[in-house]
Amino acid sequence: MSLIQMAGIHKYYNYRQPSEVHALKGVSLEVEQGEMIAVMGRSGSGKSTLLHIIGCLDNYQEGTYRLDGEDAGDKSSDELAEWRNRKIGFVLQDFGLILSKTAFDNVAVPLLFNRSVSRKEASARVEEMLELVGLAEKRNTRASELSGGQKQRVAIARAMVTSPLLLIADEPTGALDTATSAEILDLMTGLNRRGVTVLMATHAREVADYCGRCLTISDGRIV
Amino acid sequence: MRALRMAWQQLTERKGMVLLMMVELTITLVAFNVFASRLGILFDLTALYESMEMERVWTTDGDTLQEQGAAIPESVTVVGGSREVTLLPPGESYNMSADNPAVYLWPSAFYEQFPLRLSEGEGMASPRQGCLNILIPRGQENRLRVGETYSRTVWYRDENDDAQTREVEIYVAGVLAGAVTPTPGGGVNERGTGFLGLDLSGVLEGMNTNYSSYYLRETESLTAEETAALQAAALPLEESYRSSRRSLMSTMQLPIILSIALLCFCLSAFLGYNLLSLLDREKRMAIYFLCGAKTREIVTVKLLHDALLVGLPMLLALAAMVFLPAAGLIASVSVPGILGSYLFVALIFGVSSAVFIRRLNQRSIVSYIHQWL
Repeated sequence: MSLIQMAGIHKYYNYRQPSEVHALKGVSLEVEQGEMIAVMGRSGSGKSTLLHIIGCLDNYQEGTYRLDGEDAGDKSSDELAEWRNRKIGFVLQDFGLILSKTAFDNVAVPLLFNRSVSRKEASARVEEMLELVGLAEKRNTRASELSGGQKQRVAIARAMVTSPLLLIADEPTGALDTATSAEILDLMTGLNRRGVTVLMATHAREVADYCGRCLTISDGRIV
Repeated sequence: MRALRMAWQQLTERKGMVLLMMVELTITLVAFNVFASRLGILFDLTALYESMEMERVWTTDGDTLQEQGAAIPESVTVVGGSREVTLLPPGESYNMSADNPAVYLWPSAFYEQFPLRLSEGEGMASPRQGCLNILIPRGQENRLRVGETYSRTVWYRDENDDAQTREVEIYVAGVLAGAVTPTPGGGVNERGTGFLGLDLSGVLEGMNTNYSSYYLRETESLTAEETAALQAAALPLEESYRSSRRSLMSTMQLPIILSIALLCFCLSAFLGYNLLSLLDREKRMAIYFLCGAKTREIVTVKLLHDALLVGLPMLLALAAMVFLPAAGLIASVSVPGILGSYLFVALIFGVSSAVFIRRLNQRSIVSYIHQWL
């Protein structure tokens, strides 16, 4: 069974208003469990919109989207929040960390919204994730004091702390130098080898080369 | 519980600014309560003098009162018998302390003519024979309970003007509506240490008949010389009232200025804090949303954060208002003052929350993700 099944997805901003923008025009997509896919396209082509819909951050007006066999269109906003918490992890270009919190506290954020995880278990999971990304010794360092590469590692640890099925990365190396980018991509490739499905938006061909499949979006359509 | 913990963590991330705001808000609330307490006393003072119908002159032959005129002539002082005894803990001797509670002994005609306004819900207990029956001002109910008797040493002067002490039982017959009591000097006791004595019979016979000050005029029982001496010694009642009022107003100025100035500071500080942290908060909300927080949870954390920010100072201020009367800095906590504090805190919390919720309704959290992440 495919992890992601999208059929005929249309997304409009300012729907039915004079300023309406048709961002996705009937996108259909199937992603198998364990794939690592690059989503390429120019700015404004619709790749971030596609990732937001797949990540249950944004809604769509037409089409169907199934994640792990369940229809996202049938879910309430609370249920979609639970999906984001348990099934999906996000890594962003600007890291999306709370700079005043420590690395440990940043990684623990998703677990604050997961009632099934006790504090003790949460602490153990955070430690494990920091170990996985090689930042165990930085656990008490504030995010603001970390380097770009370290921040992105913290973001990856946070994305993985709930053991999601899907990791969505939006330009994860966009703010990093070449050497650090390679480290981050190696880390993500390692996660993919452990069975995590990775969807990664990027402009760069050398980044896309790390992925098994490449999708290109242009003007709201997969080409 | 998790939301509360998160709200608390957010507060502690900006310790310096948050602490400063909390201290500022606490001082504002205390100043406001002190001001409200003084204002309450001013109202009590006005009500007391109005109930005395000070614009009219009364005479008495010792048993009944008669109205003599419509206004107090400048040259005439309304005089009459009022004496004062001091209450001490059993066995203690008088040490000239102004903090010792005093009982002002007005003639019974005073109470008959000017019905005492008693505290709502507090009936007047029947005076008890053999006891010194007293009425206490509002705010003292926790120290002396209505219907209870207490052993005290009474300090007074006898017929020969010699100091005497006597062990007596005092009986609390009721609570006055106001926090002030009229003193023999024509002013008021606002510190909660002045009680009104109701009935002396069988308790303090042999007291000095020289009144310490005067309110009612005893035309029949006083000689011309005595009357002249009394008129020379006592202040006109109206002047006493004005003097008390002036004194009270002067003690209100600082808390009024402090309250208003700090109120403005607090509101601007709170709004400034919210505006300055707006970007940070929106980014944080976007991160929480991304990590699986429900909109409801995000709103709860924000509201709890604000509630802690204003609620903790309010609790501190309330604790201070319990401490201040005990320390003698104010007579008692006024209910309008406390209600005003709640209203003030609710205003700050309400304004902040309304701005937050309005902004959230205008722009969904998803738009914060587009903007910040």
